[in-house]
Amino acid sequence: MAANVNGDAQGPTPVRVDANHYRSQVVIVNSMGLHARPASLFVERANCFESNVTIQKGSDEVDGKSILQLLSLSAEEGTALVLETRGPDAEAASISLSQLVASGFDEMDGDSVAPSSP
Amino acid sequence: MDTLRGIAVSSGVAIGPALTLDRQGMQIRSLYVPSQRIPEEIERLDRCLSELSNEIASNAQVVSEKVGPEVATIFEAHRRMICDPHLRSMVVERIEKRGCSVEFAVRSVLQKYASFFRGMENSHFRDRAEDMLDIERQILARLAGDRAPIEEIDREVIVLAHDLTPTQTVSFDPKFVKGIVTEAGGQTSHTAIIAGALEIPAIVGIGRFPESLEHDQTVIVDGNHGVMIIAPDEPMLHRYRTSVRDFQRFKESLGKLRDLPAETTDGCRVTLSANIEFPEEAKHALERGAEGIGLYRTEFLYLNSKSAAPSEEEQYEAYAAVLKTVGPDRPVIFRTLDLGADKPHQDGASAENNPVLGLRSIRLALKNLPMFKTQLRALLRASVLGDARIMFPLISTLMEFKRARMVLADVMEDLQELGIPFRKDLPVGMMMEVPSAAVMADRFARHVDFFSIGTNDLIQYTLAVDRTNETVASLFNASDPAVIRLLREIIKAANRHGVDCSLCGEMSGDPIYTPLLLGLGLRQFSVAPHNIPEIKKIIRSVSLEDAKRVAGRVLRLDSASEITSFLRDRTRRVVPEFVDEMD
Repeated sequence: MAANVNGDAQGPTPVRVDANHYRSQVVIVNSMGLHARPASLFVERANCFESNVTIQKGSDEVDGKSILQLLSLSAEEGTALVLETRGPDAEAASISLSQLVASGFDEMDGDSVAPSSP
Repeated sequence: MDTLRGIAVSSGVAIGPALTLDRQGMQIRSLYVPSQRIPEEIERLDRCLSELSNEIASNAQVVSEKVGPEVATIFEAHRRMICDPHLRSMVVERIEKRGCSVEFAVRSVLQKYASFFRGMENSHFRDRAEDMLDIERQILARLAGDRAPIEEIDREVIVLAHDLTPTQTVSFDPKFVKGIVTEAGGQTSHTAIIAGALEIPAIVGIGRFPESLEHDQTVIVDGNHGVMIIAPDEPMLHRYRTSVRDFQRFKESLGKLRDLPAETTDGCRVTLSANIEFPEEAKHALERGAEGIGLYRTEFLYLNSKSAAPSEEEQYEAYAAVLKTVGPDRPVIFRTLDLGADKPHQDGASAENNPVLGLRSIRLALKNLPMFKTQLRALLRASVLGDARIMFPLISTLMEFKRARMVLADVMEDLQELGIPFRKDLPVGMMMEVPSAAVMADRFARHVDFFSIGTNDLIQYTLAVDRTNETVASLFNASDPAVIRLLREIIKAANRHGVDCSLCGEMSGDPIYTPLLLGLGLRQFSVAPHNIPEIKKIIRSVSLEDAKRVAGRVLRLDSASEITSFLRDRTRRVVPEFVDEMD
């Protein structure tokens, strides 16, 4: 199980791989898992960033900007995912997306977590 | 090959590529597009996706205001699925690499996703399959906006639709719309009435088309029987192609001739019957004015039967169907099993060196009594339903005919003991198709109720020519003077003894021979249903006097080629179009 499950809307701290590459480990906490609405919110948020976003579940890696691919992960509650962002706003993207997952999606109000410009 | 049955509402047969219409009556494009159309297809995709995305966004807005933002997120999720970069790239890949149409590509990608989700354990994810199907519907509906409407059909097609509105049906040009099949509808639906008026073969109420039905796939619409065949195999196609030709000729000549008698200009009445192979043909034959069935080839049952030989019941059904269709006042001549030679029997007697001279036809029947008796029982049982007559094929000696008749008598006796009704006085005749029988025709005439001349075999045996052998096929000629002399002898013997004599070989369906045969004294012709109008027309165009002169002249000629050219010339004078058409 992921070490940094904290249920805190602040989310886990992303690890800096290099200047344009961040990685964080997140766990799905909402009871319905990463189904249509959370996935939609995730994509919406990911699309606010220029960086590429990928999600890994075990050996599967998918595009974080593709709702179909996110859904195809079939990530249920408690699933640990590795979130990687690559690009000029990788850090901000990583923080924002990790927070979104950690908050369990539904509790979040989209506007309040809008990313600040990098 | 798939066969669907519905309600036949407009007669005729059509064969052609399927053109599927959606509920809006738009053409669904083909599965594949030519390479030069690929950029256009991708453009259509992008335009469609962006329009759809905008539309959903504005719907989501309305929903959000009316019901609340929570519900609106469902729309938002759909919008994201439609705009999904992977969906697009998968679709584009199918278009670019495989040449798929947008519709086909979208369909295959989303169906793939749908089945992927359907396979998931968690029900929340499994339900996403429904989302996939929903967005597939939305995309396809949007794509339909730039599809060609049905008015633009400009090639021969078979229109397949769920249902058609009267406006749609009326807009069809019978030149291009060769057939119509709808999933819904009934006998009195608009489609039915309009298709009938337009004389487009049509079937309604056929039920759901199979998923496997592809655009442009060849389909057969049999509007006579309410049968639609998808992806027909070669024998089926062949059968129906003949039937299509048949129908065209039928339409052209039937109207005028059907109810007129087959009678020469000087009042000599001729009986014109039909040769059939399938029970269903009986109806067509009557529609064309057949005065009976002069030859019902029963082999078809054997060649098509699932088991080695058809059961008595199976045969009875077929025979009864024909008799019921034809009615009690017109004869149906059932030719017993004519298997072997070119019609191989499944039980396949060991390979023969010379099958045409081997164990075939009546010889095979007499060797295989249980099979023969089964057929005779079925025939006799059905005989009470109409004017059934039995004919033995390939009789070469009187003894052979007597043996066959004895078998029939045995079966009659059995039926009598069992109290099963049958027609005891049913006429029993023979095919005249072996020279030995033809030469002895006057003797046979004392023992049989009727002759039916089978020219195909008679010519083959008389001239010693196998017409399926390309290298000698040209020697096969109905005009050969030897053949004509044999015909004269057979007809003369029959007439002298008051025995019915008809000619059911291909020769009887060829208009150049009609005057000659009339002149030789033939008064009964049995031809393929589609030949009836033609032959009737020529009979009605000549006088018996002329015909006798033709025959007299032909009997004095020495060679087949002289006879052929003389006959052509005579027929050309009477009905020019028949001969011109053949040239």
